[in-house]
Amino acid sequence: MRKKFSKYGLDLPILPTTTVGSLPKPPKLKKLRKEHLKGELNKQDLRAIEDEATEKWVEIQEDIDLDILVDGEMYRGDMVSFFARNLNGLEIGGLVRSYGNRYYRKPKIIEEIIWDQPVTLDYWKFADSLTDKPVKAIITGPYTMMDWSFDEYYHSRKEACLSFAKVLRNEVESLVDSGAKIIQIDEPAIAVRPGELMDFVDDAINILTRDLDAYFIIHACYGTFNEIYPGILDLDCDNLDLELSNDDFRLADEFDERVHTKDISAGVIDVHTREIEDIKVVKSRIENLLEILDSKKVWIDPDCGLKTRKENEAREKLANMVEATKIIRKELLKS
Amino acid sequence: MEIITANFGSYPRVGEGPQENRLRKKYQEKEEEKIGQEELEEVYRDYSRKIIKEQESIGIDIVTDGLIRWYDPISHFGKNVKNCKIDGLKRFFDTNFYYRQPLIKGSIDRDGPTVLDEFQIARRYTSNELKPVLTGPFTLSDLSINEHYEDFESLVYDWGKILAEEVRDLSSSGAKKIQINEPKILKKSEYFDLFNSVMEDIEKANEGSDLFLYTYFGDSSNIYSDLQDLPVDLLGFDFFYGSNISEKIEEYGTEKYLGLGLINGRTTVMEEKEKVISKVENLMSFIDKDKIYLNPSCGMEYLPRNVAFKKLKNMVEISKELRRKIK
Repeated sequence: MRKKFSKYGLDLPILPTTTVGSLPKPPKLKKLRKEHLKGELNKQDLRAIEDEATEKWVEIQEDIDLDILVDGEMYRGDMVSFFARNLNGLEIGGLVRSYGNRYYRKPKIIEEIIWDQPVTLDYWKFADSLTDKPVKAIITGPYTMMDWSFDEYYHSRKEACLSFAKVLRNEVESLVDSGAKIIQIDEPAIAVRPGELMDFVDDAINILTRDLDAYFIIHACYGTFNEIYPGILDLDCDNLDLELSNDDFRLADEFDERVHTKDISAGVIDVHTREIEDIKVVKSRIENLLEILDSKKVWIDPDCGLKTRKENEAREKLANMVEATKIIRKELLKS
Repeated sequence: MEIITANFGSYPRVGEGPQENRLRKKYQEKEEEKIGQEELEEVYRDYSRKIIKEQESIGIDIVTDGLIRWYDPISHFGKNVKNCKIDGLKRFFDTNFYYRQPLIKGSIDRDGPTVLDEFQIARRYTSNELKPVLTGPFTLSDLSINEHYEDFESLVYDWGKILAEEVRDLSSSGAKKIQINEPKILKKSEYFDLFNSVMEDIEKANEGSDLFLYTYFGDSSNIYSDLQDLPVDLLGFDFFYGSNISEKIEEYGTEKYLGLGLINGRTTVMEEKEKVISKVENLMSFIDKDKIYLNPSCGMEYLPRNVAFKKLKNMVEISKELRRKIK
């Protein structure tokens, strides 16, 4: 896969560091988003504040010295309703609990899903213009869009999923055409019904990625991964991003030699605790993983998006992650 | 009375507007240590009362407190258990909801009741029957991370003991009906004998309540006849996974009451009254109409609050129509 990067002119160190996508929104932005939803603030004014927050996070990511940056998703509420709001055919539904005290507005498919303009492109371009480092483009995948929406239109899960895949293909093409080289497809729902993986999830991912010149990552988390391994390795992508620290690395026990067919982004930071993992802890997590995985094929990141953390928590967690990775890189170079 | 209606268990705790988001806000304030447990408890009580009144106003016969204090149906039962820690998040079956996994570090033992207090508080708010709900020993065992027991059986037995105590407390405190949810047995029916044996232990601790056993999120038709052998009074079924359950009921009949989960708790599409009525009518030609309960297929909290409300209302209207027809 490194070949792709040299072709793109990207010089990534061993164990590249990145984040999964979302970063904490400043309190001011949260407040303004509410005003916007109530119709008290127009889109342009909100956009200005979102851009300000994006600029700040790009700067922070550069300071921390992450290798692949993200725009931080300052403009997304949650990963599913953001796309649902921007595609035709869906309606935003009521609040449904996700876990603990977290809720999301579960969208409803009410007619044929249609893509009429790019959803994320403008935001990606803006973040990309702020830095010389690569910025990863991120979309919510077709399977998760289907699984996390109520469906009052299509006749089956498969039909709904493949319909999402067809429209999201347009989004991916628009990103690739504009120069995005690293594209992440978020599929936290991927393990939900293991039989569906080979029935139609593989087709859906193929629709999104085939014949496109980019490095594709699929992000999965908090599922029963053991039930879809090794099948998940057959999906058309370059890198699988897996949440590992939340589950105390039990997932890694499933890995065998087949895992080397893909690059693996290894989640080494638990995003659901306030506790800042210290450098030693993160370092030993990475070391344990490198006993199983090939260091040339590993990326380092948190388990999931960091939007539920406070800004300083996210910043400190990431800084320790990068520092731990740097120490290991040095050790690897020596050996 | 025929065609008794029952809520399943959970009810959406958040809706639209500040009033219906008060619990969410207060919970967060408690997490941030801005308020104490007492203030949160007040809101819980207020919510329980409102949710119960909402069910009463629709005309549901057997109500629940909406399980609004539960972080999730799994870790909630690990709260008062020795040698059980609460670990990372995992998706709950094929829903969009996540639970925290109980991490079993040693022999588990009960450290106090879990649902009893909730039941005692909520029962004050209703003269209808209030049904406490428990997650069953098999599901709890399968969704725990076992770092102690040498075999799965021992873990199931120990969760069984803890739940038996819970059933003893609830039944001796006046709960007339106690519901046990066991979705996981549908995925691992090879353990049915073990499950049966643990259910017998639970029944031994029961001091006269009716035990309801609900399976859901899976097709129960393969184990329908085995389920009939369990020491429980009612069997509840989810009619939206596989379509054979009606056939099994027609084929084997039933010794027990049946909780027909014909209201889909997983989709916003509203049930067509006529279709549900004809399904129930069809079943009534094979089984005694007095044995039929009507309920949602699963807890209602996978739906937005307004949809859950409409669905339950629709369910009551369906039962009324059926009662009229029976007369």
